[in-house]
Amino acid sequence: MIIEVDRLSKRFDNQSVLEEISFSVKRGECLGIIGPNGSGKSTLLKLLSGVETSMTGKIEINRKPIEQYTRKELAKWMAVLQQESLPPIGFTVREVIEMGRFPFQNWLGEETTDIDRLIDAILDKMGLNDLSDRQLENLSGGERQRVALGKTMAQQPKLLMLDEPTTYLDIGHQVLLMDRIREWQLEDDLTVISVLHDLNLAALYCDRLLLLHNGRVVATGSPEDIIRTDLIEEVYGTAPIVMQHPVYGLPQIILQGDSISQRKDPAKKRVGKLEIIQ
Amino acid sequence: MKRRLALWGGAGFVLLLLSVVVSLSLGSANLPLSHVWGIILHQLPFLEDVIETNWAASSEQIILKVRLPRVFLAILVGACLSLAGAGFQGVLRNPLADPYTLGVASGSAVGAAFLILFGFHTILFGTWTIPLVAFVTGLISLLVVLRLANVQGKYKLETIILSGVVVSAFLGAIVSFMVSMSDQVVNEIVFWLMGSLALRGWSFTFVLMPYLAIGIVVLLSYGRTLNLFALGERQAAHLGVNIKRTRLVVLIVSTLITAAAVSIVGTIGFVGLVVPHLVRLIVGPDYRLLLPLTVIFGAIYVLWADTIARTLLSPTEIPLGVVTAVLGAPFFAYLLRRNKQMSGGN
Repeated sequence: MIIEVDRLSKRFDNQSVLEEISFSVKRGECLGIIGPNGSGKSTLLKLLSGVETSMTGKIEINRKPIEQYTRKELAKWMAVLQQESLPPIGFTVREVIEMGRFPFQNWLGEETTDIDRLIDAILDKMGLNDLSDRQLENLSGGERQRVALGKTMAQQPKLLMLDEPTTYLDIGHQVLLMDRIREWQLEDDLTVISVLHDLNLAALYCDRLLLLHNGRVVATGSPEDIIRTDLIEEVYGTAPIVMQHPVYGLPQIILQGDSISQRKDPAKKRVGKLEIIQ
Repeated sequence: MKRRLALWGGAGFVLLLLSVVVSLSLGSANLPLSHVWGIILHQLPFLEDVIETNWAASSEQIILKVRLPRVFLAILVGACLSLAGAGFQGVLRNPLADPYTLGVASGSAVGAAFLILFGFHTILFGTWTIPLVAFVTGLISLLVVLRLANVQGKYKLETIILSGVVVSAFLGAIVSFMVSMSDQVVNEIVFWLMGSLALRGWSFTFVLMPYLAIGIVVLLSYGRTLNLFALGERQAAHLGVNIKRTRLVVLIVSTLITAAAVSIVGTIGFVGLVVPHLVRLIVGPDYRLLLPLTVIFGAIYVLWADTIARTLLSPTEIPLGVVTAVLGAPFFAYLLRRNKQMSGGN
């Protein structure tokens, strides 16, 4: 077990955010944490990554309690990709990816091994070769998030945590980012813990899902076990249609709403005329 | 990176030496250039026999006891204030932060003014008393400013500056009150408050030196860490930075060198704001370059400001704080505007 969480609870000002959470993650596995707004997903990830402390219960990383690690030791082990991509600053793409090496550098900023080849390989993998000398402030949000993933790659972690990394991305960048992470997971036997908002992405890319509701674990299991109309309705308060993905056979949801009735007026039906401008 | 540091550092150093040469040669006493340089070179070992002494003893006094210590003091003060400004900007991730806008300078001034006015200059620690007390009061006012600006654990850019202004105004009132209560040394204290390097002599220069040395050693070692801070505090934490310790060390050391400078020359505004930004315009945001170059260019900046202060309306002297404000305030306005555009554009 690379992560073992035992009866973890967290309170903010007498309000319980997480209650008695227990689960474990195996090496090489991708665990998706899903749940509605305010279910405690982000707090759980903050506790797991050690930026939030003072909880009851136990988190063990590699059989050692998390509070016994220094920040630097943790950074050699785990990397975190956040929801907000990097700020628009004046550093170049290459410089930012090199910042991922910080935990391995001595106080002069030097390392025993040559890292240029590693950085080149990362730039290549993330399709950032042409942008390597561009400053972050001149990149789009999607490109900056690719740089952020490149930076976590430079950390060469055993464990990658994702905090809703696709929230602000278009679908092209969403799939690209999740694909790169999946490839990395399979190649290097990387363990991934991912908080995801998008249930369809979660079902496609995670091996196992953990469903949170009001700070408690409602269920854990394979995507097929978790993405079920009844469970989703219980937790999210809306009943989607669950279908099988035509290619991969994984569950996917289709939303239903009350106000979207079938349009009866044929004239209204065709208000939008298709125009394709070449 | 190292090549660029050597390049710009070397250029800055040459520029600094040239500025020293020019500044030493200018002054109200109108000494001929040959005399100025004869006196200086005469002090060097091996050269004292080579150079003829063809100047009046008073000239030698002016150069060695008035101009030279003043030039050195300007260099040290400039280095201190600029380095402190770069430290504050880096650790608070706030482009408008500097010792003046954060209220640190006025906080230090309260402590120093209190000692000067009531004649406790050398109580307990001798010449070290004023800088130490100024450090304590400066740190307290910084803590108050940060406490005021803290909204749910976040420090917003405008809120910090706003709290800084409020605290500065309050502390300024305290100083004015103290000045009005004492009937002696009013002229001296008023001039000190406006910032001046006049008639400080060598002893003050020596007091400042160890503070600057500590500041340089500690802050320069935080260059890479401050680069990571630019990505955001949580990002930096995930990359292995101990956020609390970094924030504490950088804030304390920046306050320390601010207090040392303020306790000797009074409140000199905008130096810590302008210089790091000018250096940033030249070399970019990398703190590994920014911090050392800020030391050199800060020294040059204040040396020139002081040279203008004492020569422009010679023999009348303009307070140094006035000169730096006239140069710095428009720059501050420009930064504020650019920042607004940036946040408006997002």
